[in-house]
Amino acid sequence: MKKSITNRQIFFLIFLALTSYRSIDMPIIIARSAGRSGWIPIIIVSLIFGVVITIIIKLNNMFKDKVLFDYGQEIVGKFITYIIVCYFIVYFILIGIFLDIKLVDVLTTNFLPSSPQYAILTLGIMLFGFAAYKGITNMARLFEIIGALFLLVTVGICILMLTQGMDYNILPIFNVSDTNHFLTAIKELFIPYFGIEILFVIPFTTINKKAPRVGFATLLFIGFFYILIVEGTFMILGVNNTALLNDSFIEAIKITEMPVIERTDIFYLTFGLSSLFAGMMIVFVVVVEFACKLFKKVKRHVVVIVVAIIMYILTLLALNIKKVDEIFDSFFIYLIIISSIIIPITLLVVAKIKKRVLEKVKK
Amino acid sequence: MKKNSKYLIIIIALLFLAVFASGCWDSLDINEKLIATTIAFDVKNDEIYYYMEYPCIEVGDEGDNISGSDGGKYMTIKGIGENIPDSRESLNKQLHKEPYFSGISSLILTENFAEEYLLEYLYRFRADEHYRKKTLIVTTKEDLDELFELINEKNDSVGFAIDEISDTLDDTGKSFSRTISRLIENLSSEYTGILISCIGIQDEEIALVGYSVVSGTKVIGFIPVAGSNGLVFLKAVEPKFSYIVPYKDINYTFGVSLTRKTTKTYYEDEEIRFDVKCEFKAGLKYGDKKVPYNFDDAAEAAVAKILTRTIKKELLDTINQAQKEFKCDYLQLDDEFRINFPVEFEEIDWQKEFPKADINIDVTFEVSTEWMMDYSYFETK
Repeated sequence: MKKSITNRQIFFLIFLALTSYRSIDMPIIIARSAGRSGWIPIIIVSLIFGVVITIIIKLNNMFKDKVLFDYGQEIVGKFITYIIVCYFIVYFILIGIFLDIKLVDVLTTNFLPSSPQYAILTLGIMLFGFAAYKGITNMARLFEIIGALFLLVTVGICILMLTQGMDYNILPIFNVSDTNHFLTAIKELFIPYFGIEILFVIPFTTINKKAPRVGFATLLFIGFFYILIVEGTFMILGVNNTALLNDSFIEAIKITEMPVIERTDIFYLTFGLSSLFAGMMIVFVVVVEFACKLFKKVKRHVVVIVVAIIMYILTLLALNIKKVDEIFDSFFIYLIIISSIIIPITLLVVAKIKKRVLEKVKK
Repeated sequence: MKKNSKYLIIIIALLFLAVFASGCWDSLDINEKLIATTIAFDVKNDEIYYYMEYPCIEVGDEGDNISGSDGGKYMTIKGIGENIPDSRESLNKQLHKEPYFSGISSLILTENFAEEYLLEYLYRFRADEHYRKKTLIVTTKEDLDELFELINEKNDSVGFAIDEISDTLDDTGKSFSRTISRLIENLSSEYTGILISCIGIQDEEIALVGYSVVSGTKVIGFIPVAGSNGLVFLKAVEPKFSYIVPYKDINYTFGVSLTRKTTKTYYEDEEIRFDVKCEFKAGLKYGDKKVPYNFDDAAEAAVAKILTRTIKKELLDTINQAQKEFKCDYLQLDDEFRINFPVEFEEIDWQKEFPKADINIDVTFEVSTEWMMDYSYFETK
């Protein structure tokens, strides 16, 4: 079966990969950095990553039906491609561990305080492994449903928050003194945008001609989605509460009243967790896809099991590290710059140069 | 064979999910938890009293320090300690089941407690993930033992009663209540000035008796509910009151509601000025004499003038009380100033500036007869 996905599926894949956990975390990041003017850094970072995603899609579109592992060898040779792929495997395993920790944290803090972390992790890893075994195209179809539901519910709840919250909590929407913190906010905001590199394992076909525009629009849309979440949380809780409460978005949802539904947080998390699970599935499938390319002779289910065991052990170890969040935050930014900016731009530039040289040679 | 193994995998997966979906290790029968409906605090003789009210779901829900009738619907238990954690420990020692605090409807603090421990307790509340942050907070001047005993003996919950009274008053525009979330946000801000509803006992029932003034981190004063119309007009959402206006030997009763409030903020030569414009609507409900009233345009204008004067005085008294008596901006004008002058707000000390601010009130009235009642001209048969 030919591996290809539609532009709509690309939208939901990127949307779920990026917003998986960070939609819960985003209000805290903004409250602690840029405050009420935080919507400006969000738009700036969305535009930056909008350009980055356009570069990655253009690269994919230059080599139809091929993924990074295949076209990388044509651009920079086999050795460097193997290094890049190995790097991406490590990068996505780290993202996977980070998301696993967050998943366990959200579940144990808000819903299952007595359940041991290893039990939640076991269930999660099994589910992600099964999804990864099915491959990216099957997952993309599933994500159209999960993504649409998650989007609908989150936007709906945010609109309720905006109607029930206090407008003075978000006003003034721009404060000159906040601009001093914009640089810190932009730096902090790079992390919520990790994951767009998933496109490196998706082969693009002729149906993805408009994909660069879709990708850019998706990133802008994600920016507005984040702004909606941040402003909704601020309106309900206030900036100070948002900065100081754990999982403040969920706290804000608990305060928001919905017709008929008493426990709004449980209602949201039914869909919110599906998005977090979806984010994990994408990361898992990307690691498996890269590993399968690297170890062609090994069967897919063996790769899935090995990746699952590695992720499981590393996550359990990471769960026992104090201030693991701070450790991740301290180096993730550099990995993101390498993965999202340096590698795609270098590959695109080299590919363009090679193409021109080849055209000149032909002439 | 392959098909059978597929079914086997599905069955195992479903069984596995059934175990996890039932709540894993957190699965617990509701009867095995003590669901708190109200928590309350008091300070007496330098000791903190921690009260917890809970519904008696099962026969035999009782402890040592219990108020409430035998076999009643709600019981209250209390712990005593030198500080908040000690009093909680003391409470825990009397509990025969694990307490569940996510369902509390009201938090009650005596004024004595709030004067000293308001900030500490609210930070403790914020740090605990199990508490609902939208819980209502009230203060009281009553003795908590008496309060719980009186209400529990009627098989009622103090927390639910307060919650329902507050909801009713909020919905009818007679008052305004505050949640813990809002109070914590205010306490975490640079400037803190807020009012908390104060409840008491009237004719053996719980009633709103006034508002406790919180300035900085402590309760500094009390505003009785009688004569607080001006305050409610400035604070509540869609406030409504009835006013009796004597005009030409008839005492007219009007329903008065605030339709629009706009505040303009000025900051010139380091002088702060607020122009508050309040637009009211007054509807004539009835009079104390037989109809016809001949309530014409001239009467409307005259009544509007009387109401304007009355309500303007109430609003000015409210502002004066905040500026002069309490020197505390519980009117939230700090937010108005911060929104309009964010940079300047960071540079000034609002605690010092608020009492000096020039606050002007402009009141306008639109008087009409209410609904289909026409008290103007008609012939009686």
